[in-house]
Amino acid sequence: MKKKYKYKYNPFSGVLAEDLSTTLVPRFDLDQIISKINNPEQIAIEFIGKQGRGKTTHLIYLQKLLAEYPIFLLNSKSTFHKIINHRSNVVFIDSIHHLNLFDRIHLFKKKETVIYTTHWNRKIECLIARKKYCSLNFNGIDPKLLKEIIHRRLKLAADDDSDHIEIVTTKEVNALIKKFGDNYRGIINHLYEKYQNGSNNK
Amino acid sequence: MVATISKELFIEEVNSDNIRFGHLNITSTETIKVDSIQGCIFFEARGRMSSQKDKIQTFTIPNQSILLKNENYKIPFSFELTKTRPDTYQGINVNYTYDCEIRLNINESSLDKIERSIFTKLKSFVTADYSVKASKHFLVRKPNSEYRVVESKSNFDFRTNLIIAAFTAILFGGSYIFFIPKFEPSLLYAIIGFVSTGIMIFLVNHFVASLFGTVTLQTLRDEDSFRCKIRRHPKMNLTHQNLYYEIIEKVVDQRGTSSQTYHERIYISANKKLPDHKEISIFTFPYPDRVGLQSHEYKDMSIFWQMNLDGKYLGIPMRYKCIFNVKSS
Repeated sequence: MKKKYKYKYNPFSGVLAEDLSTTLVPRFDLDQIISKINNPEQIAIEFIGKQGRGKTTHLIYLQKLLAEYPIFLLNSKSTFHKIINHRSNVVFIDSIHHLNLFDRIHLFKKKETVIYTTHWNRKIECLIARKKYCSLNFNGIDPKLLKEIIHRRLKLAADDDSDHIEIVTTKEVNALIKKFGDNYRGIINHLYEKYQNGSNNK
Repeated sequence: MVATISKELFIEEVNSDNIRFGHLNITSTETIKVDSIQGCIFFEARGRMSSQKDKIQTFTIPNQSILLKNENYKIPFSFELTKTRPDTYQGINVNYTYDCEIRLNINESSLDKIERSIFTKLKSFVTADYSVKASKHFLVRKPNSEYRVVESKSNFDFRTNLIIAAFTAILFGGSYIFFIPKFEPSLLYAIIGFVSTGIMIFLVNHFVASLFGTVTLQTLRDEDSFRCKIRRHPKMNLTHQNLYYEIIEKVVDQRGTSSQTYHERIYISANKKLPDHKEISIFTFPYPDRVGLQSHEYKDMSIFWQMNLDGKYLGIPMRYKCIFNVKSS
């Protein structure tokens, strides 16, 4: 990627919620997941994988498509009662590990459908709560997918006056995968540094 | 025929009394009726974290109700920036920018003349809600702004010393392994060992800090600089004492299932040598030439000024730090 294009901002900075639908390249058939959520059968849908693999991004995007259901982005200060007392029976939970084991089981029992992100699988907890369980693994990386993600980010951040969109080559994508493996966040952070240090920004 | 709309937005960089002037040049290849023209000012914080875009104010522009085919229009506008956000800033892990967006809402009768496209044409951007928008970043920086230190008095914090920590960990951790009999489960044995070693490191550091007594920083305003009054306890017998300040950019990346904090030094001052055995010393520091680095905090991002005092004890480097605030006038 040569430094000759103009950008309104660093293309690899954090994506705004409003731009998520433009930049996200789904790893799964989202329609299938939506039909599972809308199905009357109670289920726990798990997005599992290491840090920086796109679990939270997919969760937020999915919730935007189903905006009638709440999303809880948990951190160490989050409280359980807010989630459990919410009137919705379908909840999206980011970082479910911030809830303790008993709260998680209680959540799986009480709510009809729970869609959540996690580093560790919660199969046993779902078994205890007698909840049907579906796990989507965020492992591995598809070079075509990565190329498309990078392309979309470059396109979104391109200056309004730009006539051309910067093209990322397959060779460059493969080099990134060789260096960072399936760590999307690592790749995006690396590109962020490159564009921040370069003269790409106006 | 489908209209192609060319537009260019200009905003004057020089402002007086916070009033900005600008204009929009616009041409359409077909005659288009316009219902209203609105302006929006956004503050954007983008970086290696959850980016933010806040609409901070809106303004209306006297209506140009019709765009005649192939006519060039210059639509002037002005707005008073009621700023409540930090200045424009280009940092290491975050950038702050201000964006002016002008939106022309197209009359229903002209909708069939414009191409509805979210992302197909960069030059003729017609949004999904049938409006034409043009946007431009502009600089927000107070002209001739000067830094002004906030006068305050506070104590330096003794920073955890890695050599002392490592020494304590080896000594205490070693004693724990050799003298405390191993019990089952061994995981619990290891956890207790780690926790008690951590507590011991904290206590030893605290003890070492108490050997030197309290060090106080008092910040005072000066004309083009600021003064620091350092009061050291008579017990403070570090050698090679140096005083300097640094400006640090802090960004907390809370995206995803775990968070990460980035600290980047964006400015470091020259060193001032502290005289030995003197209880009170006063130093004058100049402010950095670069503007826009005043102390502030905005969501997951902050810039803070930190005074550092370094010295040595028995050849071991020791460090103190103290945060102080600097505003822009």
